[in-house]
Amino acid sequence: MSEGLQRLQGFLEMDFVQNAVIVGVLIAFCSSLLGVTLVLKRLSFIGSGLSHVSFGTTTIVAAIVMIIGYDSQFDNNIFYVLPVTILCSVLLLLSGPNSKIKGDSALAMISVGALAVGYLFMNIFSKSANLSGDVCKVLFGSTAILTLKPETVSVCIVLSLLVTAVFILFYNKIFAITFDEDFSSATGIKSKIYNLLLAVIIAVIIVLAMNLVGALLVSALVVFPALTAMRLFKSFRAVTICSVVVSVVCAALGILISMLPEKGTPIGSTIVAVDIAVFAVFSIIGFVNQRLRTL
Amino acid sequence: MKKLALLLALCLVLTLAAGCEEGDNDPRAEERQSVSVDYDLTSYTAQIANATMLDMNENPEKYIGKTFKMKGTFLPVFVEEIDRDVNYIQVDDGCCMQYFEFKLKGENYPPEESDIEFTGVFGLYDEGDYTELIYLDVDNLSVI
Amino acid sequence: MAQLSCNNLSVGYEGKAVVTDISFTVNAGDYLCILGENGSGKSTLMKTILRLKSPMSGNIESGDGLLPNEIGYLPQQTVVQKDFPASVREVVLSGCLNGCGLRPFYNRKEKQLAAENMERLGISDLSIRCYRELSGGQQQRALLARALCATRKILLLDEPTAGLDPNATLEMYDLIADLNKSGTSIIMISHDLVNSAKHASHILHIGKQSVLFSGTMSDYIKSDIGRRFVDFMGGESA
Repeated sequence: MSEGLQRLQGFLEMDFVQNAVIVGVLIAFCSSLLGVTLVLKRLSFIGSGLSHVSFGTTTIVAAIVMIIGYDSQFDNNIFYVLPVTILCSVLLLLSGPNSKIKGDSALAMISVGALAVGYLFMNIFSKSANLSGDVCKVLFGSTAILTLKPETVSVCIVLSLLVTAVFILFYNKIFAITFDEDFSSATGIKSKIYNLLLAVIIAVIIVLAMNLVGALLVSALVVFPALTAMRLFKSFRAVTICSVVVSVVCAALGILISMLPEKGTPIGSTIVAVDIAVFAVFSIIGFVNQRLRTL
Repeated sequence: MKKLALLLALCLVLTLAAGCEEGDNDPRAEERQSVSVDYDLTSYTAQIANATMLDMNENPEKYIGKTFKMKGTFLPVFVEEIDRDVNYIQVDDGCCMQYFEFKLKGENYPPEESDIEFTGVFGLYDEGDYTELIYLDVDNLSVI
Repeated sequence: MAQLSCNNLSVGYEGKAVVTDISFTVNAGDYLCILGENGSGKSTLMKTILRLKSPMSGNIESGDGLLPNEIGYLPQQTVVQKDFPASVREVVLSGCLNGCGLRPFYNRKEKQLAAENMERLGISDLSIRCYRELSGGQQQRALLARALCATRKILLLDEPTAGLDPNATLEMYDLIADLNKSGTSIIMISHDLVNSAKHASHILHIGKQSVLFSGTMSDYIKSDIGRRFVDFMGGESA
């Protein structure tokens, strides 16, 4: 055990590990902010749907680039993936609260379609020797977080600051349209515009989060901290703050724990595992709390 | 609010407890080894090993003069343009193969495709038309 | 000048008209009760008045100094809300949002208004309680306080007593009557003629596809449709 910790200390001195922790924590921070809203709007799976779109876009773009003849390594090129993801996010979220059912099926179609097309393109156009490994990496996000270029880290930091600033500035509006969109619209709030804003932010976060936990686990990263916070806390503000704290702590712990065992564990899945464990703990505490109160 | 403060305090205590574990073993462990290794790739997790090796290729300047311990397969490759064997160690990090050229003191290279392990110093060299080629300067290696 | 008037309004959704040719006016201080059976289009009408849906034909005019964001609304509760982690204070305060513009935080005046409205509706002691832990009646009162934060001029209520027990129902009707007496115009969708008859000044009775009656309460009770409804409900006439 002590050797493991000693080795961990060594790892934490490496700059790409430090970058991974910084970016991981920032992504966890941002996704948990929106997690509360998404869960309450019953759109928990939008994370999953949109990240499938991102996966499809990344590989389609990579395929096109390969055909044209460049030999660049297409690591989640944000400037291509982001606009398409934002577009889909907007289309999906604007189906509105009254057509919730349509939203769910649209989501299912787009997400599975994108996944299928993405995988197809990867098979046709990939020259990589380890195709299933590559696919696995995009879906579960293994080493991408450890091989971030400095520019990517800077972009992540800037985007996180932007997302946080927007969230704080529009906090009351986000609460109002999450709790009761009809009332907000009726009393003169421009709900459609705020929904649009939310859609854009969510898309940004999901594209960033794909780097950390991969396309399939993005939902978990967004949703679990919010659900955890709701076990114990009673006001929207407390739930949001707790969700952020839980998310950040779990992400940091997840990254550290993944580097402890001999062979190491995949970072994305470890983070989600820690999230689940904390959720279980909070659920038990919440349950006991409830029981004690009714005594 | 109170619940939140309690939770934060709990987290803080756990982090402190975790941090309090080690710190003494460090200097003694290093003294026991005859050569201090900066990067022992054989002890790393697959992901970190992979990331380190990719970083060595991307940003070699950071690693000049540092000592590496590596394990892998010996693969000499004859390159026509420079009319010599380039001696590679092929390291399998669990996802892909990475290749690093190394120069052994005494030139007593083992048979092709033997499993080898060595400690070497990272450096750059120029040859012919190529500049800043990566290699490891190895005093001795062991065949495993 | 009427606060709100609808002229030959047709409402519906997805191209189908649910009710046609609706005309009525609401002056300041009126208490209009919209009656009708389930599915007759009452909620659709209310949503159209609130500009949540577009009218299929006809128009809606507001006047008497009533601005678009001066309408308070008490909608039927959604599934999401019943389970929502928010304190009562947060819910009530959100009614003040329409006066914030781009300002990110509520000012002291707005927080005071929220406190006053909670006091008015007797839920001040529930201020930090979690919304989802309240009873149906308490939740409705919180939503009513929220509506009052949006405006004091006119309130639109969609079946405010749905799901409440008889006591809570009577309390709610009394509360609404008090608000009306202090000057707030009321437009309320209700099933319940008996209780409405005690307080409403005007009635709009919607039948299948068309308006059965639109006018004052006293006229309604004298009319054929009014008498039939009263008999059916087994209630008292004025």
